[in-house]
Amino acid sequence: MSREHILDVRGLEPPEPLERALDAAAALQPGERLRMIHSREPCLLYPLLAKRGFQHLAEAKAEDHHEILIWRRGDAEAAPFGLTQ
Amino acid sequence: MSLPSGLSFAQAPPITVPFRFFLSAPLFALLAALLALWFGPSLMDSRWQPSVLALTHLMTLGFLTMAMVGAMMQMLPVIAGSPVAHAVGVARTVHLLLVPGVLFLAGGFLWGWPWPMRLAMALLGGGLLVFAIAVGVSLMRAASDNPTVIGMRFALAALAATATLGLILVSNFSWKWWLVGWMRVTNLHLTWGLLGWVGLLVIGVSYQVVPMFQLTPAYPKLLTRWLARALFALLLLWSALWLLPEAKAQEQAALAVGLAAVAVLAAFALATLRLQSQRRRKQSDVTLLFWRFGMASLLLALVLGVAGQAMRVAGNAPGENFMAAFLFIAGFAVSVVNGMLYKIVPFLIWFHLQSLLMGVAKVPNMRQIMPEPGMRRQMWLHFLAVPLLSLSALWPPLIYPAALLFGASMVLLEFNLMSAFRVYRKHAKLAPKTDPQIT
Repeated sequence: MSREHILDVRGLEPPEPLERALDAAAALQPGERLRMIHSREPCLLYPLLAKRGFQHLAEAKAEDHHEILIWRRGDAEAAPFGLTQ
Repeated sequence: MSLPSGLSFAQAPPITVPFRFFLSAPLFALLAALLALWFGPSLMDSRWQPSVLALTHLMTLGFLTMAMVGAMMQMLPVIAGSPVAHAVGVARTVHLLLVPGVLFLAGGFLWGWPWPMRLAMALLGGGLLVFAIAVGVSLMRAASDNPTVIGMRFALAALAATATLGLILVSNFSWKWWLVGWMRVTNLHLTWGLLGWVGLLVIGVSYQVVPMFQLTPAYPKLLTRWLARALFALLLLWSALWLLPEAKAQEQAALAVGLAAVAVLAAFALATLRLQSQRRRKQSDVTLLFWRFGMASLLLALVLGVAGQAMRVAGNAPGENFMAAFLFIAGFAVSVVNGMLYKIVPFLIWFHLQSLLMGVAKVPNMRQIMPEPGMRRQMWLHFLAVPLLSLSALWPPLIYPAALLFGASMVLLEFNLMSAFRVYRKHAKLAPKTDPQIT
């Protein structure tokens, strides 16, 4: 079972949400993933994550509630739903 | 749910795409300020003078459109999820056509020569056409339920209307053909430009950037759904009325539609001020103050605009409304663009450095990229310039201190933007040379 860290960045001023997500992602241990909660989809975070070797999966729970799962590429234990690609 | 994909860097066009526009814009406003100093109080003699026409277009095309084009190309991938194809080539082409186009247009007005006007027609027509096609395609692909996308589509249509009417007027100016009702065409041109292109774009973009950067609650759904649509429909109706033969009833109907359009814009300004008063963070911020100032100026411009129109229809009016024009262009439009530049520019620099440096070196924060004291100094110059400009409509000699302050404010804006860009270049040099995907 993978361990999940919650990072709620709602109400923070740009670029703080991205900064915090990148820091939290960098601190992930093997088998861990990050669940980022944001009030909009952080489109510009994705290329930064990809470049640093992270994968993500985004889901809109509501118009102002987006959850983004972030894990290290190749970390099968941390990947949600057994996603390895 | 979106599956992780091999995300392309199309989400973020290279930094030069918006920056070439952002860094050019204040120079045109500075040129406008210098022209105002040169012509002085005579500017207020009539709005139809070549000097006023040159000055207006340096502001609306040179400053506002320049910055708005750059911002739209940057924002489309992020807020509409739909990047502009061939962004680098499009930006370079549009910029290289617009810059000389605005200069030739202003020069043509000033000297009254037809050849710079004809050149300006080709350059501006070509530049805006390339922009409209590139951005139009991107907007067609974007999700239609996004109120910002809807606002941007209407704004682009308004730009097309403004540009077409402008080209008709310039061709009339440079070939001297017989144009029925060129005063009406001019009024249509400026209304589509100011209320349509500027007003609709500011409305559409605000839905995203005000909550995001000013940390306010979201705009009410009712507003985001209807404001831009209503304003666009009213502009269409208003234009249709002007095609009817001149009569008292037609004038009154046009005034009623104009009033409704003003009410839409006023609702937007009031909603924005209200949201700003509900923001979570209490400390003031340069962008917030620029936007408050902008919304207050917009409200005042609308009141004066309505009063002027009503007096004209009642038959006892000057027909000139310099104060409303100063408040709308310098007080409202320049303020919101200026305020937004202070968020977008440092944010983009931060983002591109974050992407380039990848932990090789520390990325400077927003305040280090764009220091607060410099922004505040420029903001106060602008806040002093706008009331003086507006009052110069009543007492024309005030144009001298007003233009001096406005020009100084634009010099400082350019300096602040250039300093931020220098921070980018200095840090970008530290990047590992292997990955040229984002620069």
